[in-house]
Amino acid sequence: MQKKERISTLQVIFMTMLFEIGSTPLFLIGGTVKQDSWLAMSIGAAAGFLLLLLLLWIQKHSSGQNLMNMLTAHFGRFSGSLLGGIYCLYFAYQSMRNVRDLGELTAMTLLPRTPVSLTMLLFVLIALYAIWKGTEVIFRLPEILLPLVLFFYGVIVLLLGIMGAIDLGRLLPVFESSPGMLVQTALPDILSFPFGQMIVFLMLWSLWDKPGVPYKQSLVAYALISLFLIFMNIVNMAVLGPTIAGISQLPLLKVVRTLSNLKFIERLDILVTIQLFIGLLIKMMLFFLCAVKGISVLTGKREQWWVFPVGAVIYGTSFLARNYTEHIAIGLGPSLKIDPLFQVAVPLLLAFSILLRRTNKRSSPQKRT
Amino acid sequence: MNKKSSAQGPGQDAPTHSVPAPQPLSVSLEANVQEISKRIGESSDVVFRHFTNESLSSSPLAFIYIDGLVNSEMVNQTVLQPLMETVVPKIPDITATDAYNLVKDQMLPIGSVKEGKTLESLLGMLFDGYTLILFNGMTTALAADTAGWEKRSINEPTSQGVIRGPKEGFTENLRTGTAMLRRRLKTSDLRIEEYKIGERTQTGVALVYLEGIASAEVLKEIRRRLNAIQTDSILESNYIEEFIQDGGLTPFPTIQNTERPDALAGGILEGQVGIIIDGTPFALLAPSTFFNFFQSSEDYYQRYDISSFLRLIRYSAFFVSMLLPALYIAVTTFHQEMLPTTLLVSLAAQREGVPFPALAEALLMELTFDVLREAGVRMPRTIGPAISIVGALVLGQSAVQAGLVSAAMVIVVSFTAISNFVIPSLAIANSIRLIRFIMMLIAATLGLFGIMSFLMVLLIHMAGLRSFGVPYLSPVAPMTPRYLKDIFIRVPLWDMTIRPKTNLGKETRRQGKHQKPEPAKKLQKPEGENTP
Repeated sequence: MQKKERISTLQVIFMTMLFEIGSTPLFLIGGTVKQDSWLAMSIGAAAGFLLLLLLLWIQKHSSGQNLMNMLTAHFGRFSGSLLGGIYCLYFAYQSMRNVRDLGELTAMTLLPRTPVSLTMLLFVLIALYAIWKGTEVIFRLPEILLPLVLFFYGVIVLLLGIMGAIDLGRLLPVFESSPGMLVQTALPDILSFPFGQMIVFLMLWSLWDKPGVPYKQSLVAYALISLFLIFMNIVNMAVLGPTIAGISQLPLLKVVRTLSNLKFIERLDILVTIQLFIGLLIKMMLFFLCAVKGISVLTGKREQWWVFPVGAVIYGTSFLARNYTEHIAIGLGPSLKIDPLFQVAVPLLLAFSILLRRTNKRSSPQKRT
Repeated sequence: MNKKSSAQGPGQDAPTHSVPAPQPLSVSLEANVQEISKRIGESSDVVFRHFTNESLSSSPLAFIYIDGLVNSEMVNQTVLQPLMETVVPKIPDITATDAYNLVKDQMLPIGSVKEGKTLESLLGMLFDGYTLILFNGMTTALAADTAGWEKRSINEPTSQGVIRGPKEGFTENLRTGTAMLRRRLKTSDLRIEEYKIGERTQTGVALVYLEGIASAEVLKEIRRRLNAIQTDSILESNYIEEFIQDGGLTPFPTIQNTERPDALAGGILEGQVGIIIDGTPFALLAPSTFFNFFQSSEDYYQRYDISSFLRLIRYSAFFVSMLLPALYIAVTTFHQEMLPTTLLVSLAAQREGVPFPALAEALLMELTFDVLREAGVRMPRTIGPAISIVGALVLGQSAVQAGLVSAAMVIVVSFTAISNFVIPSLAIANSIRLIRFIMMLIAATLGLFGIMSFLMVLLIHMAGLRSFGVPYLSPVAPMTPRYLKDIFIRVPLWDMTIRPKTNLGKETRRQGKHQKPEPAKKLQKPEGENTP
């Protein structure tokens, strides 16, 4: 166990992709601009790409450090640790959102009569088990799960195509909303979910088993998966049309239910549920892991020591919202307003501090001891 | 190794129970013979024979061997005759040492002659089928290898049959096993290391591997674990397997076993380490990953397309065998809406008269099948047909007609059972037999969500498992794309240029670069010209 944990290049790529898929296709992102949501999403993805470049640049200039080390290095021991602690809470909060999402999703589709507390407990316990096993084990999971998830999405899209459910005419007219509206929708909302969540990798890139930063790999993975997400958004919209897609809680589920006249299996909900289960689990697990990692760096205790307390906090807080509507409302309201602070503002500060130090060092090397 | 004093009951008082120093031979022949006889407890199969050869020595000599462990003809011709009948030109004042050297160097026409200085080593050799020759006045004795006991001849393996491929299997004899391997791997890189494990059984255990191909780390670890074994007895390879395998608390096997020398050779050629154990035809292969258990040696004896297809069938059979009853329970109890209406109606009609819930029905049938299966293994051959009639007709058909179980359930259980036998390795097929029951219980309480959760737990468990340092799910997780040629499908042999190594050890090429059979370039041209 004393051996330093290492993750391979492929694992970084696979994890980036699976993490970004997460629960994203579940929701209709950018629903306010109706059929132009995919354009808004493209803008969000492009902005996310720039943000990713920034994050990678930060990582490059703090080699071997994770977010917590960076914060303490740049903002001082006390305020850095404080900020680190807040980040851990933020990660735990994001993790808890996924737990609740899954609990509600399960209640809605699979187990209407089983208490949500039980399914959520199971979910947290699975993640806890994986984190107990260590980072390396967690990073092995996408290597099996990502091909599976992509395969299932492929099956769904293929079936939709064969059944003639996809009508691209529903995307017309393009650019009905003004470019200003699109940008407004994309920034900061779509940027913060899902694209800005790449911030968690600031905790993980330092584990890469090669020297340096996986620049190319991360960017390629990100670009591919952004295209995939935009494509799924288009599929959602082309099957349901802007009106129905806008009002349904889980559009993807509705999309799949249009496939009811296959004679073999009546409803493919199960396929969707498996995908969402995997996506949510990985996302939740990674946030959970980063919260545990962060707090273990800050306190100097082993990660396994913190697994249970953090798990308990995540499980406990997942009950805070009284019902799913409130949970969604928080997610789309206050939550989206806070996200940019963590995803953009602090990284910008970090980048600024790095720049400052570099110019300082270059212009006056004699002043520094 | 901590040696318990042999042939002593556990009632002996503790302080004197520590490791006894090996007892050196005494000068007196009689004393030595007496001591050996005492140690063995005057067993009737031990033959003591005193004789004198005046030309060799004035004092008597003695042979000791165990009847049944030695080849009597060989003892007579190579030990008794030369020693008793040869008249050596009389050497004046011949000493015991002279006589000893004379016998050792000139009078034993036999391959292996060893010397023993302590009673323990002599006894060990005696039990290996050696004939001991004791001299008066000497504190060393000679032991001639005359081993030759009754053994089974080489037969077709009973547990791992093939349609095409070699039909010989290992036997219980260690030496036969190593010889069969040598015959397949005629290279000086083949190493055979022997160990004696088990205080009372002193079972021969041979570690076989290819130098330079097997990983040194893995070898070191296996040696360490083999040396650490302290046990009374090793009667079958599973004894070794349980003592050395990783992860005590896992339903998944991390060591393969095989009865087939070609499978063992194949594994060794891919960098695994083989362990052949005396007294059982089942040899072990380690380190083994999850995917090794789905490879059969026949995959390489058939065309690659059909082999790839069969591989995929095996993986699906694995999932069917693990999940089908659970899925049936989950769908019929929780998610009826998933089924097409007509199927749902027909299922409901079948279940109408069935008194039990789906879980009880499934458990009942699964347990029945496991009972039948166990009975099939244990029962005497001659009453086999009776069992199959009772099993197939009475339990299957009548249970449905009597309304105890639904016909659909019988189909589900039978298909599950058959799928279980598609998996080439019994080890992993057995482990999912147990997982299946847990799956069924979870499906009955939490439906599909429970099944997914448990699958995820299994996946995390397997991702964390290691076999001698090799991740259990490699080369898929952690993934090495160029090693995936022999995992889910099998590519043609000419394309497998690189040994599919695990992450330990070094990568080596196993065949030339351009092995794909193609018509020679020059020959092609005239052919083209000839065709109108």
